[in-house]
Amino acid sequence: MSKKMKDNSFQECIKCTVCTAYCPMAAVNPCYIGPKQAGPDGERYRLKDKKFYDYALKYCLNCKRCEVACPSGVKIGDIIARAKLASGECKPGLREMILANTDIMGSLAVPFSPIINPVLKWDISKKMMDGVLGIDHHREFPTYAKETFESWYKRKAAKTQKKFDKKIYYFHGCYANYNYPKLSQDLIKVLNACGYGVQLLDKEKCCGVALISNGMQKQATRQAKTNLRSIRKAGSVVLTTSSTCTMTMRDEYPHILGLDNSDVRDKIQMALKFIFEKVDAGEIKLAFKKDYQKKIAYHTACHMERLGWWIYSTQLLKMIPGVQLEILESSCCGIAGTFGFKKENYEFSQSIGSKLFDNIRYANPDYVATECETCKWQIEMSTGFQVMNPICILADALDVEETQRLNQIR
Amino acid sequence: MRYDTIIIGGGLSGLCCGIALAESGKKCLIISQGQSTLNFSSGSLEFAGNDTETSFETLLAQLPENHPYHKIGEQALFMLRAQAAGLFERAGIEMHADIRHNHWRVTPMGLLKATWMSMDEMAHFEEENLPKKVLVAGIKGFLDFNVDFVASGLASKGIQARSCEVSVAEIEQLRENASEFRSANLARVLEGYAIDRLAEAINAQLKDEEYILLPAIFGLENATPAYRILSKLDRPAAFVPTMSPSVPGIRLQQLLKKRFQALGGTFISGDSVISAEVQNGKVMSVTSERHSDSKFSADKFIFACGSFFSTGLRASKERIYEPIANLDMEYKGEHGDWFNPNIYGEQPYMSFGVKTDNQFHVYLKDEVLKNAYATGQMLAGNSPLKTPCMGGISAISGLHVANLIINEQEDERQ
Repeated sequence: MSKKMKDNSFQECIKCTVCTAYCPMAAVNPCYIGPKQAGPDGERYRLKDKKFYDYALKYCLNCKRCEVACPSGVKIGDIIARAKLASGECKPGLREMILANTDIMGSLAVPFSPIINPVLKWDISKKMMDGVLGIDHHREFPTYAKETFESWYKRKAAKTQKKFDKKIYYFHGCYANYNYPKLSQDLIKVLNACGYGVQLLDKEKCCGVALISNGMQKQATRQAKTNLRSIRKAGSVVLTTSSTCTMTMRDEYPHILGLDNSDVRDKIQMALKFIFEKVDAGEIKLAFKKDYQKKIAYHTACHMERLGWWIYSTQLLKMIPGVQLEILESSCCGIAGTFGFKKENYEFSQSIGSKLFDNIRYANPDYVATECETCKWQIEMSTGFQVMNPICILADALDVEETQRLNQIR
Repeated sequence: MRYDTIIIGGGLSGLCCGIALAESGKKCLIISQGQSTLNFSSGSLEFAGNDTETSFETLLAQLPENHPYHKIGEQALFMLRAQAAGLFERAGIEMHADIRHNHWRVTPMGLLKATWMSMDEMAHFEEENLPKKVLVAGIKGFLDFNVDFVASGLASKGIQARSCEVSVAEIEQLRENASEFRSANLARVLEGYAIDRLAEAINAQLKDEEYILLPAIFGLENATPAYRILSKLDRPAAFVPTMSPSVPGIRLQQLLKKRFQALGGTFISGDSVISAEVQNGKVMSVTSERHSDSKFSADKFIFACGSFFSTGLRASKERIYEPIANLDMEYKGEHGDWFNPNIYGEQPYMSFGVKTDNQFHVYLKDEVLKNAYATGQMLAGNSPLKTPCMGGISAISGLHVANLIINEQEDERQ
């Protein structure tokens, strides 16, 4: 363990148990000892033997809501995540390999997407995955795109993006590459209208969040190093569209994997924050379609809550004149990345999310907006409401020609 | 990002101030560093004094010279006590309070303590209607509410109290997790029929007692479970706070925050303000840990960061300081003078705090900051354990500063 990974913030814990009172898992699972016990309390014992409380660590969602609640600044979620990796309790099996290797699975699936997408929806395949792999049959895998965003970009966009005077880098992540390239394309649409050409990184790997939570530390570290190398090479701001990739690269790389990213951490930014700040500073202008009328309910994903950056997304959405925005009470949807896909976690996952689902049904919006792709799958499966990344809403509502004119783009 | 007012601290003081400003249409941001001490609240707020007879006006006159209440004045304090009750009511929190004097509440140790305002379902009594015979009903194995402590505490005040412990299946299943048998965990399973069965179990224990006291472990999000059990019991009953975390306190925090957000306020949790930019005697902007490359600017800034526990104040061996802007402090002596070796004695450090003028403006290097205020526990001159005034200072100074800002801006407009 490197020096950086040894963080003694557990000594700041005053045992007030406020974290456990706000833990979504402790709320539905009486057997979970809760963040205080699994985190800072356990850490004292683990100084003697890393096996202490190892059975409980798998229940942690890594939602970081304990850290948001802690009055004493203890990095409870990080302590648990590191203990989980060190305990070896979560040895990855075939299921974990499949769920965690989002980019390997994506590269394999995209060429065969016309076959794989329907097959994944068959009841028989779901039952097989449930029985053989332990992936819950209620879950629907996100569909794979016909073509990855990267390949589309090389074919269709790379040349035109070079023509812009102002250029900005983009880390698309797995979801916007293999499953939903429209998100990346929407970002390009918005940024182009504001005068920015979008560049991809030299080499991009999956951020590794699922590898970390499934105990594959070595592979996660390798991928993290590749990403950090590319971000360093870019040498300027790198935009993202997924909240979890963002939090992983900014905070989990140093706190969990022990990789120093202090030279580039501030450069890793969500596109929504970047756009808001440019608009706020008067550097770019946005114009919206007059006939865009939507009721939108904003869900604060756990990692957006941790980043604290939901304020930028919601302020941007509020700028769209036809948007009636309701900010839902911040609560976990229960999916927690790959956690909710596992058969043994399905019930916990759904009961954690039930409060959010009720709030969404009560709000009855046209769309739910959130920056997290796994929240999107969970909310769509559990409520039937369509979920959009705020970037896609922005792109839909944008009056491109007027925006180009305001930003003096020919 | 620009706001009318930015409040640093999301506890009682920051929320009261933010709600009052938002009610008058101001665009407010609260930046809160984790959950506040409201999560440990007894469900009662003290104003001043140790008895229920002395009027608040008389108690005020007895407070030390540098107590923050003196900057507000008797008449304004009277109005503010009424204003506070209204603010809680609009947030959906029913409070019992008398504008002129204290009532009694019951502590987790069973002692009676004089207090100004209590959440309605918490045990609160006027001197003349203190119950004579009480059943203290706790939960088997729940260590944060010791029924024998409570009963013997009450006995010392001449109240006949008998203790009993009960349980229901929903609670028993929590024992699979023996390490966290705490108030918030209990509150989560005490809903619906579990409450009814618990009430039955308590009713079966009743003899000739006229009143029942229960631990405050009902209703994290709203008071419905609390009122459900009260309605099912065969005698009048009320709740006594438990050791932390406090279920009524968590509810208080959540309801105040929701009220602030419903009024259009922005509440950022889990983020700490790390620096303030000061120019020409004014705070221009603040920067936080999570938004380190951005600035939050506003017309007015309020420091409602709490005391040492909430890190609104910090101490090193050399000095006591305010960590965000290094505001001027009021404290005396060297490290050795800050403490009283008698741990139960008056502790000098408790009354140390941020220096303010009569309108609660803060100072930086002896210069007053015209658009920045301090409220709540970080104010100098308030020693809440010696003069019980913790909740009062927080709520009332927060409201008072909100009023000052609103009035000042109305005057400017005219």
